[in-house]
Amino acid sequence: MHKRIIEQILQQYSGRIRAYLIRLVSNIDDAEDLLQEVKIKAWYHWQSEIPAAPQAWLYKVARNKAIDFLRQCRQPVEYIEEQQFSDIDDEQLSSLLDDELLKLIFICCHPSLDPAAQVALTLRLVLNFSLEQTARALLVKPKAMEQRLLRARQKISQAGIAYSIPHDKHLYQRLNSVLTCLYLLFNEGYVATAQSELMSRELCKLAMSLTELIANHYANNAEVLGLWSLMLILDGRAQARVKLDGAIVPLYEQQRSLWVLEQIQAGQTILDSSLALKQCPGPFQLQAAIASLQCDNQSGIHWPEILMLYDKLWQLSKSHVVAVNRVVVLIKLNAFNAAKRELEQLVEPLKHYHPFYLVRAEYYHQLGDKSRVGDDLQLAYQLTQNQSEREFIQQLLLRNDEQFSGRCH
Amino acid sequence: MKYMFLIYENEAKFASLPEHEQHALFGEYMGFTEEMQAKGVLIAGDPLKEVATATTVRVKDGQMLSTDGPFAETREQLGGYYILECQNLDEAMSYAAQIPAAKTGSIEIRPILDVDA
Repeated sequence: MHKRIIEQILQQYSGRIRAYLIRLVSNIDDAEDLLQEVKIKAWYHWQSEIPAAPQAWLYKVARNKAIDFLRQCRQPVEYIEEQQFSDIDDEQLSSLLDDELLKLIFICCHPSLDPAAQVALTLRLVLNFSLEQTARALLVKPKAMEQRLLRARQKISQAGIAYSIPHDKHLYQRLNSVLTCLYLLFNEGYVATAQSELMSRELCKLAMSLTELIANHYANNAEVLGLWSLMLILDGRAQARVKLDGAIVPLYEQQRSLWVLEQIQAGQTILDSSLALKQCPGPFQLQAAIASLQCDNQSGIHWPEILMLYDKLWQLSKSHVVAVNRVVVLIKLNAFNAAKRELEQLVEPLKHYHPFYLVRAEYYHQLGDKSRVGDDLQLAYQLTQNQSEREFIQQLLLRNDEQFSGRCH
Repeated sequence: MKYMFLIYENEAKFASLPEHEQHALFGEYMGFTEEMQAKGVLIAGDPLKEVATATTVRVKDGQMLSTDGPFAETREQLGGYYILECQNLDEAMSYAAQIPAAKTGSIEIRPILDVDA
């Protein structure tokens, strides 16, 4: 029991202590070694009794380890020693370490790093996943993940990525990069490419906790609030998204009693405050607005407004995935000619993207073309490895055979 | 930290611009160079003659082999460079974004390896 508690405490604070160490010694690998030493010391000293303020204990030990290390390297340490920490209370220390974690997030999500490496680094360094856990969460073999992380760490130290909160004039781009990374991380959990259900829920929650940290820091940035809102709404619907047998339930067939309404409403409130900032709505606010409108009563969903939001989102992102989601709305509005034109344009760029075939199956379904529905569902089935998606497609195939009622999600 | 900025542009496109636009572009480069100089971060910077003047040299078995043209035929060609002193990658990136070719071509930023360090 005691051992589990120590493990939990170390897991809780490791990201922050690592971030602090990285900033002091300006090197990720050295900081990692020092963090291990701090942990070993904690394991040794906490056997008999865990300190009342473990965070302050870890901070103090980390600070001393860093000073020793820098002395050995004949680097200046006075500026660290000058900072008095004895009179810092726990709350001040938390906010100080939150700032350190924020800097580490900015490093991990630097736009000069490959997006896949950003997500991996964030899991590994900020969220303190082990190499194996990081590899498993992102469905990459541990060896390949080790290489990816190594390359990213080398780039950080070689290319001169700064260990600081970005200067105002770079903040916009840097923040965007952070938001995109956190959204990728959230999606990794939400679309459950991660193998286990447990892991995917955890990924969503962790992505949300980091987004909340960013939102607390940049509450005057509408896109930050937009992402925070989007995550709250999507996560609020997550329970209804997967059936007990693991099959995916499309949004408009979900059992709404399974939605966590308070969380969805909290998301909508945050969306309102983001829109009230009157900054030109970026992709996260637009997606949050779409997600929010989708929560209206089934019969009351305002499709023309959703279409308008998708138009804007498409203009901003030029993403084919956005375009195919827009087709879903065109079908809902019975705009079949427009849907057809769009689908024809999307078939080439999205030929390996299984949701494309689900949407096209729905289009054929509306036209009453049963055999084409079947063909597209088969294609979609072959293109996804995800068990939940496969179950869902199998059900659509059965329905198409029996009573001919395909649905897209 | 010193960074090298490699400026890649589609040479044919530049050549097809009317003369006054080419002049305007040179003016933009002059402006950028002067700004970097005024900041005290300019170490070097030059345009290169067109890629048709390039010769690629390799030595195999002690024999020098030279070929006409650049190392690789690409859509964009190396057309010039800057070397600037920057605090970090963010600063380097914001300078890169000010180089006129960033809008029409691309700028590759490479930190310079300090062999004495």
